[in-house]
Amino acid sequence: MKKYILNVPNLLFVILAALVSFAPSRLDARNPMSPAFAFVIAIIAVEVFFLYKLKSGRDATATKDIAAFAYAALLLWELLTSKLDILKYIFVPAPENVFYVFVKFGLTILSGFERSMLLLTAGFSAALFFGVLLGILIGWTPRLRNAVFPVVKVFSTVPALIYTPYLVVLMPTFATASILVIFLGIFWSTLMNTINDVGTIDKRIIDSAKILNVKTKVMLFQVILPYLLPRIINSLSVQLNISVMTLNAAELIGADRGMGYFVKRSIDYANYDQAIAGIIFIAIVLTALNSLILVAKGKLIKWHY
Amino acid sequence: MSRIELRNLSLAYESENKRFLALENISLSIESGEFVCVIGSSGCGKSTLLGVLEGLIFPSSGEALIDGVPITGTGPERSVVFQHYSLFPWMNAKQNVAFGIRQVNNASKKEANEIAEDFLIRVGLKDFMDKLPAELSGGMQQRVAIARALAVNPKILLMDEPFGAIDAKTRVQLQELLLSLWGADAERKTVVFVTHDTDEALLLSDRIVFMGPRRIEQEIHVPFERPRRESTFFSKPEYAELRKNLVSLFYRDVAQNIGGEEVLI
Ligand SMILES: Nc1ncnc2c1ncn2[C@@H]1O[C@H](COP(=O)(O)OP(=O)(O)O)[C@@H](O)[C@H]1O
Ligand SMILES: [Mg+2]
Repeated sequence: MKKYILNVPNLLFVILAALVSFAPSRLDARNPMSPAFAFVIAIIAVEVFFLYKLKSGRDATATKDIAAFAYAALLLWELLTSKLDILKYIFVPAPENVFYVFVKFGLTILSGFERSMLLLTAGFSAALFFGVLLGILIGWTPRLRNAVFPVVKVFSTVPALIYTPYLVVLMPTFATASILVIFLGIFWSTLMNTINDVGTIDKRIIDSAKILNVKTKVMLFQVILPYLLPRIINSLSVQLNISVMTLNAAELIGADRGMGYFVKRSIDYANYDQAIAGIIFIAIVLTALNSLILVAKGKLIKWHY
Repeated sequence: MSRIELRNLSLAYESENKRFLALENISLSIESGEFVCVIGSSGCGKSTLLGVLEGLIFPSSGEALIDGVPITGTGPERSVVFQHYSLFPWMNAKQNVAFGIRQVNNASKKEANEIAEDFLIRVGLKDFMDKLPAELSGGMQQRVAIARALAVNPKILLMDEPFGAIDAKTRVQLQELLLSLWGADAERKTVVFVTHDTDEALLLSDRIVFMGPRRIEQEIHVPFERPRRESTFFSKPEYAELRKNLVSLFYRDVAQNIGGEEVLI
């Protein structure tokens, strides 16, 4: 019990919580401060998460270090803005105000989240599905592979961000444009990786399947696909980050709703507290999705190469 | 229960600018129900020869026939056990065996599972059916591989150093298991078993095919009656005699390969 309570992160937590709750804000005189409760809830959420990780996670030292670092950063932010008023408020808003954005604009943020996730899911799963399916087919057929691979390699080197503005004007709606952008952003690399992986698959696995007299369909989807699955899942995090990046870039150009759009519009109107809240939100969503991938991997894959 | 015939078979591995002759003018016939061990030093072409019978590699010239029909690929009448890694790592023991069954007959999933369970019990893995290969010892993995090979009821069993990576004590158990499974069939399977262990070859086979580099050097008849058991077998005087011959063949071969100098092993 002692080791959960007596540690540096918890000390910082108490200082931070007390400071936010009880110390007077110097900023208040000039700029109206938002209520502090949203920030306090966020701090408590961090603490709950920290204690959970400390209890269930493996590396307690790392968990403590990370938490200590997070609290130190929040403390510094709180001191420099709200408490000491050293940084220019207009550019660096106080954490109280930033976290209050989630209360005030919660619905807007949620509807943007819903929209972004819809586009993301559509583009991401289509690219993954077709990239892996075609990759396995092409990778397994030597003649196709030799013909297609060099071309795929060229396409996969062009970053989707470059032609995103063009697709946004080209496509009839923003939704179709951003789905296409996400699709193209990861389709070529998924296809290339899959073709590559099929080519370098352990010959003994292929021979084992051959001597069992498998038909081509079984070879492709019951031998090669499950064999590659761990690699495919491992690549998901990178692919997901690329998709979010391309989606956000597209949202900067033509959206009317969405996570990236919320940030862009806030910056356009110099609402930096909203912009920072939007950025924090995107970071949380991405982290959650990445953890989801890890959990899925743990559930799906019980073996390694 | 099938006759194997190789006629003047040669095989060269070809890559862009190299051609490596791995088998040269091999002729061999193996009778139905015969247990043949192929023995020879490492790199002499044993696996290549077996690969031809498996239908995974094709001869450059000459013929490989099963019951008079040329081998054009793998086939359901043949099963294979490799030295390592023939199980699919994402399937548990039962799934591995059942997967093999479903590829060659139209068994439903349930029927295939029942056959798989039956064979896993026969190889002594009743309590390990739900384990992934990585959770099994090397010996247990080979038991699963044997169960998978036998569960499709093949006429020919091809084994490439199946016990080569297994500790001595477990190897004896596996040899006896293999002999008892093979002996239990009314119609015995034809077995081609590659090994580099002379004792293993003498214990298991009706005939030993001794290979030198690229070719067959000698065929040795192993006359001992069956059933054979490790415990009684090695004390026979005829056994000692045969073993001596075989070992001397081996050493002569090694000595020739390194240029006729004396070798100490
Ligand atoms: N795919 C291959 N390409 C080229 N050479 C090969 C290939 N496979 C085996 N060889 C060579 O053929 C010879 C016989 O190999 P192998 O049949 O595996 O021998 P063994 O099983 O008796 O140890 C070896 O010299 C080996 O290096
Ligand atoms: Mg070999």
